[in-house]
Amino acid sequence: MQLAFMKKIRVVVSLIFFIVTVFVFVDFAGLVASRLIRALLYLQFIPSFLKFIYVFSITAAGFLFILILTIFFGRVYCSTVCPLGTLLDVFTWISGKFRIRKRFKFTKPQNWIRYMILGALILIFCFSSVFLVNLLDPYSLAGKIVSNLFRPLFYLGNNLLSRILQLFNSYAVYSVPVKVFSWPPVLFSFSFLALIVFLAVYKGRWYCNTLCPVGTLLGIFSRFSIFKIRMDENACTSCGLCAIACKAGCIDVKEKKVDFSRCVACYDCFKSCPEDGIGYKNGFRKKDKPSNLSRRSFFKTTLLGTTTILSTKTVFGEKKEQQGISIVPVTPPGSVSIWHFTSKCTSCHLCVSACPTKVLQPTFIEYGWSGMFQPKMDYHAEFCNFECVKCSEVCPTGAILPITKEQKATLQIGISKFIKNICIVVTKYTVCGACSEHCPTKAVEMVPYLGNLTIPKVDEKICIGCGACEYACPTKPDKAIYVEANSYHRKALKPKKKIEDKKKAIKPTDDFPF
Amino acid sequence: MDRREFFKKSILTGVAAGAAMTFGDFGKIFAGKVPPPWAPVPYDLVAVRDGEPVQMFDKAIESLGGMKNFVKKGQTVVVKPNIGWDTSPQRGANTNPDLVKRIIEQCFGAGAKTVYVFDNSCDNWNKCYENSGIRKAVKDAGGKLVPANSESNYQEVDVKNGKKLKKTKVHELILSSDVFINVPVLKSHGSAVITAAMKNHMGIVWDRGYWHRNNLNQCIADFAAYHKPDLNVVDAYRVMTKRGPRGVTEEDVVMMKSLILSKDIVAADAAAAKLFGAEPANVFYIKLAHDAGLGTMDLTKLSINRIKM
Repeated sequence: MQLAFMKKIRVVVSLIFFIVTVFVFVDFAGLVASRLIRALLYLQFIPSFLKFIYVFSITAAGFLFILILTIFFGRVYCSTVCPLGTLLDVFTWISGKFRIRKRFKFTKPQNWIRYMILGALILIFCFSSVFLVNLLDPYSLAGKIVSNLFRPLFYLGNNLLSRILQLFNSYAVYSVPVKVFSWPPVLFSFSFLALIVFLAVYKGRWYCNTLCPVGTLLGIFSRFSIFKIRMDENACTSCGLCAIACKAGCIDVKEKKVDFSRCVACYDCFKSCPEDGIGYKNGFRKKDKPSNLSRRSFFKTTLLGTTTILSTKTVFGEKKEQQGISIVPVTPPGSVSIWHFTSKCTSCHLCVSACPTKVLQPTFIEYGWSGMFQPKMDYHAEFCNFECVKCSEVCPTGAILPITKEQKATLQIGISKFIKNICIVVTKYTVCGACSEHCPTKAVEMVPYLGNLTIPKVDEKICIGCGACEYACPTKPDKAIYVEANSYHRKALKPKKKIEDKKKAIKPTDDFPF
Repeated sequence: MDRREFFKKSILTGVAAGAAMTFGDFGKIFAGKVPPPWAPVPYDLVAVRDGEPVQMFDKAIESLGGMKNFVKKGQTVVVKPNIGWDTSPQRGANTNPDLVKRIIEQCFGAGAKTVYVFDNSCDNWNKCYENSGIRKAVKDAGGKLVPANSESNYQEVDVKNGKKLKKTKVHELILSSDVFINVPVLKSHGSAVITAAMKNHMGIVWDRGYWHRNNLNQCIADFAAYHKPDLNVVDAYRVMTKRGPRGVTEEDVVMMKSLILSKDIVAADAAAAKLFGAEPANVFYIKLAHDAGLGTMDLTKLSINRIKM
């Protein structure tokens, strides 16, 4: 039990990562600075990889560190940095406390499934789609669970507290209205959480060794790790306590072998062994028997899986034009184009959580099946704050690239379109101007109409597509002004610094005008 | 009152109060709206110019007999500035923070128990409160800055004699507080010509969309009939003369260095319109309110104290 301390370290590190990550996803007050969020998520494997291949800089090289760590000590990522892994462990731990959990036992690896998924995912990715990544990346799955399930509950609790404090005349806690509630991401997250709980109780880390693409990939690397966890054949009494403790089910007591490709480096076995018969050993000293998966079968399964999945993959569908709604979703400022965004976003919903106005909302299949749950600018929920670049600061995958406030001020993500025949001014013959009121660049301006009435007019050159006009437009059910997405974001002209009054310039006088 | 009647009444009152508290409508019970017993103010309207916001306000309120004419000891006050936009004070889109701070201080000077400040903003409320400088101003003056972003804080009220606006949801603090001081900023407005005192009411109600859908000018006038502030303070220090009510650059702002105080909301708006270079009769909600007898836009009929600093 000399190495039992390693488990303690692992638990502490994983809990720190987990708690801070969860907090970042429920934090509505922006208490955690964007810089810290970036540092925290630096090591998330898939987001870091996606960002790296685009920006190609050390600022996104977190996945390389993970690979190096894996080469040395195996899949340390899975039991420390990965929030889904820790979530699984939490449920496993709880079930152990309540004695629901059965003992774990050695299981055979599901190589066919795991290599097929990984191969398919890589191949689909080569066709620049993140399909499967957005459904299977463990960080993004944890993000979806926290953002879509824990976050609303957290808000609800906060709002209740706010209401109670208000009864005592305290306004220290403010309420956070949950503006939009869309079922598909919630249902998906809930079903997945249910699966997670079941697996955690009965199958341990089955997900990580069967479905998780990161687990599989790191597993390939950990086959060649310099230090591996091995059983000391002389010390081992074949008591089997280590196999019972192993939630990855990778310790074969009969053969006295550890399948290190499936080991998640949790070190529970170190603590379980009364003889100190299991621990890190130099991996090169004794050659492993080749694994039961031949190279040929690896390629075979990979290829087969890819073709099946590729044949089901869909791209953007042509939608019929509808009044007052953009044909393609508007993507957030910094996301370059709809193609850049959809080929990078793993729908972890961190931007959805961090967005101060909550204009960013998860979709279902509006980007097509391959872009399930990726967020969009929902101008019926809110509009994009003119001075805010929060989403671009926190996005860990580079789907939303960092931009400055100055860049954002002229970054055109869409263009406002005015539908005159349903505007209040035309249908009710009364003043309104809500759209123009909210417009931060005055791209929507009120110009003379009949009599004393004024009607909106859009200057498309200076419109940035923030959606303030669409949000404010009071017409029902369709909005009389809406933002049509720019598939490629463009640069808008700067709003005029100064305008001349059409009538007479108002100047301060020397005396009171009354 | 015999003993039985006493018990019956006490219990009934208790139940009613308890029920009201449970349903959140408790404000009305303790803040019975009785006509204020204090002296009538010496002027219908005070206009000040060429000073700094704090000095102008001090001068103006002094000529109305001091804040004690509006706020009594132990009362709760709502000071309602315009905090609608996430812009800096220099842009003139929100009420001047120095003015807000001074008004709160004066309220406390007159013995106010609590001074609440809020606005149902257009941009994200947190950013508006912060960047307008009003969060700091309220904190420094010891007031309570209250979020107004949650529908649960609004209660539906009947708007009596409303032509277009029959019902609307009003922030509960307006209903429960003793004194309401309306502190708008004078600005241009794309469709309503100007925005000042009456239009500032759109920040104490929940569903502004309804107003926009159903004849904005009439709704503004209707609501002014439902609820009149105890004092209107129109900030015309920095006046956004074009591209309002949000404005785009500081070029939209003209330094007018003026301030208007009046109990009459229509007169306050009429004087503001004049400052802006507009005829009050051409600002339709002012005319509608005038015609409905809610106040007067004919400034020649009022006793006005004009102060040049």
